[in-house]
Amino acid sequence: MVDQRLALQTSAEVTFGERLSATITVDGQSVPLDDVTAVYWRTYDVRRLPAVLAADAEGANGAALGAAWGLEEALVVWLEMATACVVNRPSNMANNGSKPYQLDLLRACGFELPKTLITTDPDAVLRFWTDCASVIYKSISGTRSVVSRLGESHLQRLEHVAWCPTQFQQFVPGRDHRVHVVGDDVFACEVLSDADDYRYAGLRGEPARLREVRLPADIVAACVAAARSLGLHLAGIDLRRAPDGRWFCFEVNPSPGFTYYEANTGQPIADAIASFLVSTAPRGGASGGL
Amino acid sequence: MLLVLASRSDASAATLVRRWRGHGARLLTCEDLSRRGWVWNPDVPDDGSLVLQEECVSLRSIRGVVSLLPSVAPSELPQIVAEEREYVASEMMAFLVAWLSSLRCRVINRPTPLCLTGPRLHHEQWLREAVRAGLSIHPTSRRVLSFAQRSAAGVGPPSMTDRPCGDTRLAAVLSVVAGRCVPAPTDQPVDGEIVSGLCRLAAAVRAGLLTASFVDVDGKLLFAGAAPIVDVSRADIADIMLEALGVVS
Repeated sequence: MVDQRLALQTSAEVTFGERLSATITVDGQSVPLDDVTAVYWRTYDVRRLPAVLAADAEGANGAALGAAWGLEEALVVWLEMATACVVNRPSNMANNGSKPYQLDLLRACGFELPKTLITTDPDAVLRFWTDCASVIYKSISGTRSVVSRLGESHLQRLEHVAWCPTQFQQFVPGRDHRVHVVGDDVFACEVLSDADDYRYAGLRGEPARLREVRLPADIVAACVAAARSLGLHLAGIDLRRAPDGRWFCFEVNPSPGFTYYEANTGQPIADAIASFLVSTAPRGGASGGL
Repeated sequence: MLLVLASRSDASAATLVRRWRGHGARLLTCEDLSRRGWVWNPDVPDDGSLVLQEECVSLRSIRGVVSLLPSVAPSELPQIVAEEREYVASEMMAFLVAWLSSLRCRVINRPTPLCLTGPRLHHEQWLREAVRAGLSIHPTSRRVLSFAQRSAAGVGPPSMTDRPCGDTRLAAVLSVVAGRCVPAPTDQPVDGEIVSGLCRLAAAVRAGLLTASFVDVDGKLLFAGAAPIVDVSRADIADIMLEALGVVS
C-alpha cells in the first residue's frame, strides 16, 4: 500500500521515452511501478492532509503542499498511462465532475432520468416547480451538497439563482438503492429512510437503515452496462425505485465510499475488489512496460 | 450568432470577436453566467436561453461556438463574494461542460470533463499520443523529490513538478485548427510527414484546436508537447475557424 499520509516522505520518478517507466520511493524503499499489475486508489484532497497542514503551519510556507501536489500529479500520470489494471483511471472518473454531463452519458443504459432544469431565472424555477409538483435542488459539480426539497421558505431568496446556474430536478418519490458494481459483480442494498438525502438522515436523528436486496435482472444488467460504458471497474450507483416500478438513476460514483454500505449489510465489497485486482494479474507473474 | 467563450481578460479573444463582428460574433464570459435568464433543460437541449451582456437570447440563435476558456477559475468571478468563488467556479465549470457538449450547432472544440477547450492531457500522455500518431518525440523524465528531501537539501518551494532542463531548442510551432495544420508564420517549411502526424494526433485526441511545439535535436524535429489552444490573434487561424463554423468570409 502506498500511504498518502506519508506523502511528504515519498518521492517519485516517471519517464516516457520509448515506454513508460515509474518508480516510487518511500522512506528510502523503492518500488518499480512497472511491476504492478493492478491498483486500487482512493486519495484525499492533499490540501487537507494532516502532515501537509502541519508542515506548512510550521513555516514551510506552501512548500509541503507543493511537494504533495507534485507527487500526486506524478502518480496520476502513471495511473492514467500504466498497463496495469487501474481501479479506476482518473480520466474515466472525470465525468462525475458534471452531473448533467454524466447523466447524458447514461441515457442509453436503460434507466429513467429525472427531469432537470439548470437556470439563473427564478421564473423558470417556478414554472418547473409547477410542472413537476415537487422539486429538489443540488450541486451540478462533484462538490458534495445536501439534496434538498424546494419549499415555500425558499421563495424569498429564489432570486439568488441569478448569480450562478443552479440545478433543479423533479422529486422522484420512492426508495433509494445503492448498487456497487465490481467488474461483473453487483451488490445492491435498499436504503430505508424518509430523508430527502439519506446520507444526512443521521444528523436529523433518524439514521438510514440499509438492507441487502436482489435487483431485477434487467436493472442488474443496466448497472453493469452503466459502469462499463463509463470505463469503470468499480462504481457506486445511486438509484431510486419509484412506486410505479420505474428505476431512476441519479449518479454513478467512480470512487464510492463502499465501507459504509459493507459495514451495514455485510456485503463483501472489499473482498470483491481484492479478487478483481488479483484476477487481472497475468499468468506467470508481473509484466511491465507499455 | 457565433459564440466565443473566453476569459474576461483575454485580449486576443476580444480581438477575434471584433474581427468576426460582421458575422454576428458575441463574447461569452463567466460574468454572463451570473445574470438572470439562463434556462437549460438537458432533456430538450435545443430549447432554452442564454445571457450575453445582459441580453437574453435563444439557444436556437447560436450557429457556431469556439471555446477559448480552458476552465473557470475563481479569479474569473469578481462579481461573486470571495468565499463563494471556488464553489461557484466549480458549478459554472460543470454547467459549461454539459451545456457545450449538448449544443447541436457547430462547436470547433468540444469540451471534455476537465477542460472546456478540449482534451486535457498530461505531458507524458501527449508524448504517447504523438508516438501513436507516428511522430518522433523528445523523451521526458519527471522526478519529484519528497518534501523531506527538499528540506534536507535546502531546496526552496517547488514548482508543481520537477522536469529536467535539457538542451531543447524550440524549433517549430504548429497549430491544427479543425483538422488543418497551420505553421507559425516565421517557421521554416515543415516535413509533410510531421504535418500528417500532427493532424492524426489532433484527430486521435479529438482536439478541434491544438498547438504543438517541436525541438531540434541533431537536425531532427522532435515533438515536445502540445495543448488544446491556438493563437486566435492570427488572421489565418481566425479565417480557418470561421470556415469551420460554416461561415464563408
